[in-house]
Amino acid sequence: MTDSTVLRDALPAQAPRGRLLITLVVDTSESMRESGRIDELNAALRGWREELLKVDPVASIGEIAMVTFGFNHVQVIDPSGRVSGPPAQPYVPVREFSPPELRADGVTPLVAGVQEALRLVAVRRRELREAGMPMKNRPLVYLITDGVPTDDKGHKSNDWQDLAPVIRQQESGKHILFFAFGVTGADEAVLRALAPESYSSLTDVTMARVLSLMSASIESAGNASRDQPAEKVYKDAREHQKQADRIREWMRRNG
Amino acid sequence: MAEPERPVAAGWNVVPASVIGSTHVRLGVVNQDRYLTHALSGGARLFAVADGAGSRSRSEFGAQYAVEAARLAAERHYSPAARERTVPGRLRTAHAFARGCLEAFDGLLDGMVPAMSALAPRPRATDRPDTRDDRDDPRKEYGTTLLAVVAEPPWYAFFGVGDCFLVVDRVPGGARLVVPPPAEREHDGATVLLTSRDRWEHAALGVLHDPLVRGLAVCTDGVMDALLSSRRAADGSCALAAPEEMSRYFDHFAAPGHRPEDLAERLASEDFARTSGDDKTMILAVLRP
Repeated sequence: MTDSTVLRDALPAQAPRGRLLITLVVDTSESMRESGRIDELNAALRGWREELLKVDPVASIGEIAMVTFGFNHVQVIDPSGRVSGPPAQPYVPVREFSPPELRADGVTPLVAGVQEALRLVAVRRRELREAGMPMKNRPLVYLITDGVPTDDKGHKSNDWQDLAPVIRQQESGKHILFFAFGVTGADEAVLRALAPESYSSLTDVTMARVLSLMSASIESAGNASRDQPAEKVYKDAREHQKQADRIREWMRRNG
Repeated sequence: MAEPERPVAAGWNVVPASVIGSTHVRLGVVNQDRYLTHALSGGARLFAVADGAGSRSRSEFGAQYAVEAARLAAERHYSPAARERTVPGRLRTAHAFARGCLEAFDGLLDGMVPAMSALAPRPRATDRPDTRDDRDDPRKEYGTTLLAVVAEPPWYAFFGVGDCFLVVDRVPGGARLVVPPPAEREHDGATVLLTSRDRWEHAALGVLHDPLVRGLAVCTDGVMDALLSSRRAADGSCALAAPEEMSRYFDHFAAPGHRPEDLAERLASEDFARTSGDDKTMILAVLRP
């Protein structure tokens, strides 16, 4: 066997150039505070980076952005925690993921939050294209919510009905993959409309568990073939989650 | 100025390698890449790689049929009797070879899966319908890319459908990306396959006459990020290129006593896995002086 250092020099490899965009759209409305979910989410997010870094090749090519809706209406958060206001570059490498403590209050402008996420994705795609950086796969957008979309006054809003076809169009054009995770209190009808093949209704589940499910989904969807239809990617992601669950359960029982 | 001439080569050092991608290992999927190297009767060599589409259930068979189709077409169109000595003649042969690859691929699919013929019409070699893939055509499950190179130094003919790529190494001159993967492929989110209806429209087809070539690297897209770099053109646009250091691959396998296994070991390394979880296949061929 040739020494690996010698071989590395003789047959060099370029640094990873591709990128995988992950965009979180997180509910920070009043209900998240009242239920104590926001504290739980903050605690879970602190440990999530280590979990994500185990997902290959997300660790080397993943970039993550974070949009919140609720507190201060819709905010783009610096996922590295370095900038307190809106960051000049919303996407940071996954290895730098260290989000600030999220605060929860106010109404639930879910639709505006998702729209902002789609805007960020489009901008980053364009930047990467101009920089000659390939996309490893379709950008992944993850919605986490415990509530019902509202207008600015807190009244239940039906504007999500206009958002659903926009998401479908982006999916069929292979521009994004969209996942929705609803915890206790989320409106299942809304989730089903926004993400018919990729929503998870998770009652009585910890936020750590939600993030864990999200990691499994990222691993599966991030490694899917680029030309796979979205429905097939979603189906595979569900299977992957189930498989990860079975392994976790086996590990729990067998120490 | 007179073209520098390379002494007549004694043959090729051919080092093929194909390793399964880390993603496929994790998902329990087989390596869907295939390759074939074949010495043709007139002294030419065929180098072919194919990458079965991950989204298609029988793509590894499609990839196998693709390289076999290239062999059948090469044997037919690059026999000693058919040898052309002019550029127009070489182009005609390359064109016939390309069509032959497609016809042989279709024929293999029809022959291997007779039931298919009854289910859907196959695309003709020059079909230009407006849809990339027929949703109801069972042949789509055999979706694969192909890049086939017939080397008869100093002539090189190539035919490709999809995102495989070809690098040649020149002395002097270094590594050059001759057949690049399609531009914007990562942003389009779709790859043209041998089963696509617009395959002919998007095919790469050409002939290279270059006495300075000392080696070829025929690759599937799984090694693209590890081997190629991005360069900004004068107009600000970016394009893929073979970096200068890629010549080291040819140096390594031109050296006497080289270990052919080195290539597979390298493709299976962490450095390559970090760039892609896809299967990785490369045929590296270096002319022996």
